[in-house]
Amino acid sequence: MQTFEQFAVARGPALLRLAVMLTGNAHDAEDLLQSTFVSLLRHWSRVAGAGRPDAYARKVLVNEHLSWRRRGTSRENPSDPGSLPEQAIPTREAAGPDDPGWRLLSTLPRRQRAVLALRYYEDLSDAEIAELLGCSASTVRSNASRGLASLRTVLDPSAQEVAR
Amino acid sequence: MNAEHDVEASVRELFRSHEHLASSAAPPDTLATLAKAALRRSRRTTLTAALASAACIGIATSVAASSLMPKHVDTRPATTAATRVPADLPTPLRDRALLVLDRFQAVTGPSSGLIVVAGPLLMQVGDWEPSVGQNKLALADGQVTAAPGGLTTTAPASGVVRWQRGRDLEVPLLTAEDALAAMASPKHDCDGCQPLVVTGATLSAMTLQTGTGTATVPAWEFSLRGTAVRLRYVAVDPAHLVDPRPLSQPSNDDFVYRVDKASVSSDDRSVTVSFVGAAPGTGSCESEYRADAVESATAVVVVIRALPRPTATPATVQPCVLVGHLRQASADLTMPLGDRPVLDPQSGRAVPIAR
Repeated sequence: MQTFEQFAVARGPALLRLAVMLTGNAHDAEDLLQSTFVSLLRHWSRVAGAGRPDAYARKVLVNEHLSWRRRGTSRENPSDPGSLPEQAIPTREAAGPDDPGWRLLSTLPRRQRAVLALRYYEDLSDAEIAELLGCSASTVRSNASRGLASLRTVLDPSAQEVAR
Repeated sequence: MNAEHDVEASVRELFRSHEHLASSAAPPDTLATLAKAALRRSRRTTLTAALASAACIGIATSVAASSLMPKHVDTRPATTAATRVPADLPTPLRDRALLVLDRFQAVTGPSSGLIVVAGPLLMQVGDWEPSVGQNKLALADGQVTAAPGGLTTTAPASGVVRWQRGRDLEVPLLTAEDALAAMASPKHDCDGCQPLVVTGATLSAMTLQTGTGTATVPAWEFSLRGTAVRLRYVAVDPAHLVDPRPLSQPSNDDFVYRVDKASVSSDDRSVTVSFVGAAPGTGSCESEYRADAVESATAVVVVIRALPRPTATPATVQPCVLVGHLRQASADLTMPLGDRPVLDPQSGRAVPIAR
């Protein structure tokens, strides 16, 4: 049976990347992966014993992320940095990438973004995503098409043509 | 249909082109170690509290991973003959205390008449005017230089350090140039900030916290160009100052509480230390603490441990507000404290002491 350490070394990087796709930045991805690890550790013998710890870990990660806001324990309320008396020394990582598509992605509802990440980054089928999120495949499809529709304005030049 | 495929391809590319963001996060195996440490603690507290503390430790680790990590320290302390360790002290705490005592002994050496530093050597007089707010960064990064022509100040070769408790010590002094060089070290690149320009220096005095109490020490007072703020820096020759290089947290498994300050009982046989912990009580978000003194002939380390409490049952599990409380705990000594400093087991440095 795979130990937790072996698993973390083997699959941690891939899970971290998925966490980045879900959260949009390295800091939140760190927090998300860490709380996922804690959840996994609590039942590790069962997780590893049941086989496919990888798929289970992904499920925990995604659902942890989706329930994060609902739990509301560590929620950030952004305010205008200019109105604060002191400012942190700006770093490149903290500011996040200045990419219109990536910014738009962060305005999508979490579930839509998660569906897009699982479909287009993890290359899962709609049936697999449905199983992972605990919803129907048609819900996955409608989430994906709504997410894509929002992104189309930025990502597809021809759509902008039409809009103009 | 074609456009649909284009968007899908763009989304694919959007995700893939941001993979590199993961590289600015902590490495997954570090996160796994933190998660394990958090879980171990949560067996005693609650999961929510563990998650939150894991997040805090995450910050501490990224600091430790930087240049602050001391590399020259032998992590296997040798027990000094005269050391007194409480019998039931857990091994990690015992080892930590002995390491701190050994390091302190190493920087003190056999010499006496040294001043154990327990507070900042630099003192700022006045606040930065809004127009020169960047000066704070410049100072923090050691970007301080003398005006062209240098400092034309002469000073006596020695001065007197006077403790509030009534003890005097004559010590050799630094020149203004040497004090300025010490103040400007270590120097870091501050990303284009304007260096502070020192326009003059006068010999003055300042209050310094030492391991044996509050003292008034000779200090150079520097005036600066373009601001009313003045800087004072201890003028005592560093050869007469004892200040061990700060240690970092030992590891994620063995958390060491930071001791902020200490006070001594009137009979000199007990020290009360202040530290930041959970709220007092026995609930799932509360904790009671115990302090133990590990003593050598030259210093005392006070280590804190949280007392065990009943395991949280599902009914008592609740999210904890992570507000630190200022807590105190007392430890008995086997002999009077005397002139021995109280050392913080986390950083290894002396703490301010009130008598």
